[in-house]
Amino acid sequence: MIKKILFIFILFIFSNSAKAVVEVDITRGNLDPLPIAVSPLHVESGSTDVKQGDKIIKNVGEKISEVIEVNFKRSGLFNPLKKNSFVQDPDIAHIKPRFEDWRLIKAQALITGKVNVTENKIRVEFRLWDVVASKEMIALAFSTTPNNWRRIAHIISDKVYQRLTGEKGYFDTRIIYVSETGPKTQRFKKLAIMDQDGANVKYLTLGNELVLTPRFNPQNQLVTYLSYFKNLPRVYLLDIETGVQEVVGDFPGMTFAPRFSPDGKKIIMSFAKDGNSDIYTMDIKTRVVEKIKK
Amino acid sequence: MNRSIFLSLVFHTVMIILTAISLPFMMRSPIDLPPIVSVDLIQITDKTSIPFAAKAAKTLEKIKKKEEERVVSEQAPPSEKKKEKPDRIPLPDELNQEKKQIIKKKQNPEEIKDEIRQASEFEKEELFDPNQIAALIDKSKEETAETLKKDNKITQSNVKNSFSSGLTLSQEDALKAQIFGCWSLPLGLPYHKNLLVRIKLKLKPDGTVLRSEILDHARMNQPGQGFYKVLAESALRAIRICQPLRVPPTGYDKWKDLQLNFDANEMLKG
Repeated sequence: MIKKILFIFILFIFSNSAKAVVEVDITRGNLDPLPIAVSPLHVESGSTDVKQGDKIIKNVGEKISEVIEVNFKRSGLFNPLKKNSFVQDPDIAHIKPRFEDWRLIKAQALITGKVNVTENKIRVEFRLWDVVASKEMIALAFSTTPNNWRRIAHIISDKVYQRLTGEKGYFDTRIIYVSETGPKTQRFKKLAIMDQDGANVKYLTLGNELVLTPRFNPQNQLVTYLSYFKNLPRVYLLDIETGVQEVVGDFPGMTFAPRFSPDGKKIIMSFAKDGNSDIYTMDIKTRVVEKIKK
Repeated sequence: MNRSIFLSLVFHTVMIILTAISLPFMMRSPIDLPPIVSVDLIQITDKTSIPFAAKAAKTLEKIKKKEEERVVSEQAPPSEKKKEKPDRIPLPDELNQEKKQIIKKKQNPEEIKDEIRQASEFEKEELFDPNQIAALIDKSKEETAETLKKDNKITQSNVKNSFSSGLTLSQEDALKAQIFGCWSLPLGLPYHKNLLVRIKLKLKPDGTVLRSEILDHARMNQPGQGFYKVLAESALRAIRICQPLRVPPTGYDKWKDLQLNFDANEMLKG
């Protein structure tokens, strides 16, 4: 018994003298944009062309890949590789990429996909591949009306961006702004909205009245802005989805500088009465107005 | 019952003592670093690089003039003689030396210096001694052995490395430099968070990766740690791109298990 215990003790002592693993600290790296290959999305046989207004888009798969590429290029975090250097065909690459070929052109990530367009439906499937590790990172499919193909391209960009950087993408977002046209003496200021890449510009007002300071609701599709109503600056509320527009509150004086609260439930604005301006908040649903500065 | 309690107590105390003795941090002796010796490297040229000082030249000229102007007495200076102790008796060796000096002072036309002495053909043959060459070769062997011994000694430059890792400073730097070039940091990492990814590698003798393992694997799937997964993937990608790693050709046992600590914090702090 004692011999056994002694043996265990000896083992215990010798176990401590085990050799340590060699450790190397890597504290530097390069901050170059990640080289990414966006293969044109393969359009399946039997697919129809996409009609967008007067335009007819023939190869929507290639267009989607171009939008994704431009998004990545503009972000500054990715370096989309030139399509001339791609060796593999898009349809085969989507099934199983030859990673050695993609490694040759120094790509670290690869996007492949396929598109199927019918009369009133578009189905886009995409895969993101880790070229270095030779494995799939994400695979998703989206279906919508054919006119929304650009939006699908932005959503794919968002998904890839999030997977590769860990941050949420911003590509599927829109910008609201004041568009100015006409000569210097007679400017037309219209409220306009566009995609973050400058496409799909839509005008929300006619340009009869001056518009200023448009602000998006952080939670939904509401927009608040300042416009003139009966020669007085007033805060407006506009629902982009329905197009309904209304004046916020019926105040005797002028209201201006509107903003949404972070939760999107209230509007904060200035209200001037008898030459004295105060800050008010208004609940969007109940329309209860509160003064926050005495 | 009492015996068993007693035995248990004894063995527990022995166990505690052994643990205390064998704990690695207690065993570690303080690092005895040799004192730092600062060395200035100077390039030796034929001409001095010190700029010509005009003031110094003027003062030198003044001193020369003064020396010329100084009145020198025609009287010869008294001859210097060695002061000898009266009771000093010269030793026999000293006497011999004195005699030799006297002989040299004499004009001796037969005396030829060793360097310029010309040897006849017969003499040259006599001078060639193969044993001497053998001795020289042996000597050179001894010298190389000495230098090898010297190289094996721990020098100041690689003291830190020999303690922390099995690689020398230059070997570690070569490996670091290789991975620095391959590691593309994901941009958009959060500040002030733990951005350390530890990857354990099992290497082949040629430096290719046999197996890689992320040590904090559990952290990848924790909520709010999405960035960690991206960072770990980028580190793994860097290792794969860098393959085969620049490892030393010898000492495979030392570096076959390698741990790379990718720390993005220092990079972000700039």
